[in-house]
Amino acid sequence: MDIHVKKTYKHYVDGQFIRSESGRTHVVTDKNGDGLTHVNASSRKDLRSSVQAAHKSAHPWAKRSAYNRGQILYRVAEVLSSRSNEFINELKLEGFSQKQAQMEVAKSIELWVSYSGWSDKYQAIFSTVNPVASAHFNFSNPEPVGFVGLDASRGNGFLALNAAIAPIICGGNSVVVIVPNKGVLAALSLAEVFHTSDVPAGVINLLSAPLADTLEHLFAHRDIPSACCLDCSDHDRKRYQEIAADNMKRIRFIESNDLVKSSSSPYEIMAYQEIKTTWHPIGL
Amino acid sequence: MSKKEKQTIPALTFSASKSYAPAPESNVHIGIEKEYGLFIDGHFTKNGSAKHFESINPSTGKVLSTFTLAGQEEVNTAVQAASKAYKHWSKLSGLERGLYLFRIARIIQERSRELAIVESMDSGKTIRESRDVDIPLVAAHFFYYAGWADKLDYAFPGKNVHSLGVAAQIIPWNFPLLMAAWKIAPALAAGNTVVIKPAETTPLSIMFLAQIFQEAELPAGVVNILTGDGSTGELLVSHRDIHKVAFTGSTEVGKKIMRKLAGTNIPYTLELGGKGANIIFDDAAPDQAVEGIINAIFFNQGHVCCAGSRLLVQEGIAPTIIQKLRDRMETLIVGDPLDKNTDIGAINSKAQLDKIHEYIKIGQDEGATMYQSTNPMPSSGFYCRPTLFTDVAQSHKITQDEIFGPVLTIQTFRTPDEAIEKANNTPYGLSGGVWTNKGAKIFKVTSQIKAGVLWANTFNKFDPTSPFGGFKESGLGREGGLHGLSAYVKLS
Repeated sequence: MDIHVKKTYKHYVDGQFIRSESGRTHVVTDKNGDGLTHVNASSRKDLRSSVQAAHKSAHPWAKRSAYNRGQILYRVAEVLSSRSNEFINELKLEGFSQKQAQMEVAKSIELWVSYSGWSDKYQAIFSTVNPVASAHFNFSNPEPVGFVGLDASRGNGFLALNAAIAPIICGGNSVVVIVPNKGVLAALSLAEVFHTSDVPAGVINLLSAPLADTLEHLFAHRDIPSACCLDCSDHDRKRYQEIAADNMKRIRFIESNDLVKSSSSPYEIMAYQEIKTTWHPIGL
Repeated sequence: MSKKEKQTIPALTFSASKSYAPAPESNVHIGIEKEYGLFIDGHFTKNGSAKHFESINPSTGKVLSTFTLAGQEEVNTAVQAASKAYKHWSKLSGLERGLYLFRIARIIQERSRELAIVESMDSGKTIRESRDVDIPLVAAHFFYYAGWADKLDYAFPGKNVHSLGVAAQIIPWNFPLLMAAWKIAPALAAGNTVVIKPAETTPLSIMFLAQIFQEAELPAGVVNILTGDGSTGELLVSHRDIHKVAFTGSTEVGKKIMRKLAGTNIPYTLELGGKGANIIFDDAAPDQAVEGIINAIFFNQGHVCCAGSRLLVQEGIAPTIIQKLRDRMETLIVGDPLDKNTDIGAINSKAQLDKIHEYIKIGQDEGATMYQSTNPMPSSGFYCRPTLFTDVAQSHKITQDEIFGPVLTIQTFRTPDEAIEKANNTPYGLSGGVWTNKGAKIFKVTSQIKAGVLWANTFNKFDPTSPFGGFKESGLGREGGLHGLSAYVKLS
């Protein structure tokens, strides 16, 4: 008997592997256009559930010690490393060359290692003690914005996806990710890595194959404090910026290629931080 | 709390100590022109064919001067002047740019009393504040960012720093010169040039600043000043040849600007509204806390985006704090902004006074209990009694909306978690205050309040070295300090 047991690719929300509430799926094809498998189509309601999970997990995640977050990020690198062949194979199924797939997975592992080291260091670089001209102790330090809606649906490659997620959670944010349409299988399998790396439930949520109005909802949703879009078209960019103004969402647009180039940069972490300044009098 | 408890705290009486002899700051030597043109390319334009508007002294209602309302043509000319000046200004060495800014800071110090008087006349703020807070901070801001101009390469580790180009800046009426300094100083230090629009009701003091730029021989076109109203501001941020927008004002207009800039690559910073919670724990020093509450809400007539306009008092000490607060309010002198004894000056405009009165009515209609100080009030000009509301709910409009006047709402809480939840129950996130004797409690609470500036056992303190700006719908980006510099540079 040689019947291969195939994996069902599901969404990953609040630490659970679940199907879309829409009941709809999308067919993933190989480079010849032949059907490989189904992935779940994500609806507005899937997005909403993910936002709830991200919201709930954000504060406890931010309250973890930076050291602990660093260890969890390092564990992601470890588990990804031990399973790298699976990811290379999944990328190849969707048309990546052996060389490209190997490079993307190897660099992704390095990236998680690098960000694991940043988790307790970027604060020292971007915080200041401010010498105010009065008898006050005054300091400014970065705080996570809360959680981030990451539209990576048009993102280019596995490495760019990892380079987008890692700095967000390194800085104590949760994230709701619409994973890339191309390379979707490897992207969804990342959930298994996060799940076995002690990333708390809800800190990383992965949705695939967005339905028509799901993406726009990500930029309109009033409970999402910050959003990022990879490889956005000029038309969508304008539209997203307009609707994001409703709750003054912190919104950024970045190209996958630029993200790969700036990977391991603490400025990527800072893109999802707010600076808080605290004053206290000095005296008896 | 029972009625009986309330009655056990007697009010103090101040009847014997109420009258002070007038102590007015003289303004006879202040040279205000009858009319002002725009400041473009280093010169004041003639008041020519453009539309005009008047700025009045809100303490008397009398006209101070006439100003030009800049339209499309004037906006074009100003942006062109700034673009032309940018070619030269951005090529100067950092030290050279700094030298100009240091000069400006020095002249501001030299002319500080004159500037303070002008500021109080045009805005209605007390001379004590403009003299001791606003103008010293204006000079300090120029001095601080002057020093950054030649040190940009040290500011952002691992990055190359570039200027942006022409910065379009719009500032509000609550701190006219101080906001001008917050905007202009870092922009110039980083090698940008500026087109700035002051608020419609406070265009006067920035004209004195323009004279100072001339005195300092700042190259023509590096700073251009357009007076006008909202339409001028809209034309300015819609201009194709600007490279940065910096706005301080209402959240509503901030969102409009975000939408206006959608689809462009123009970076922007926004300093917007607030509804800051000021939390008093039962272990706080009561008299110190009461002084802090007074300063948090009545400083600058409450025209402060980071005002502590929502007081949260731990239940056990609420009767004491509220009675002490009422007693202290009775000692506040509302009156002539130029009188050195005045604590609370004039409301900036008739429109703002009407808006505050409307909120006071809404508060009463919503069922809250109002208390106002009973001191004598000036018979003319725009003034508002210091006001507080008790028995307010989180859902009340006066608890939710930014009133921008001397109106305080008071709520109580039992546990730190409840205080934090109430403090964060707002779309705003600009400021917050915490009063307690316990250091550990300070850090627990300040780290959980979603706001950009937290004052512990103090309130409404500002400094050029200290970054200021909001979380959530209170804005984007920081002004002041190292972090404020990043708003005016491009990193590569």
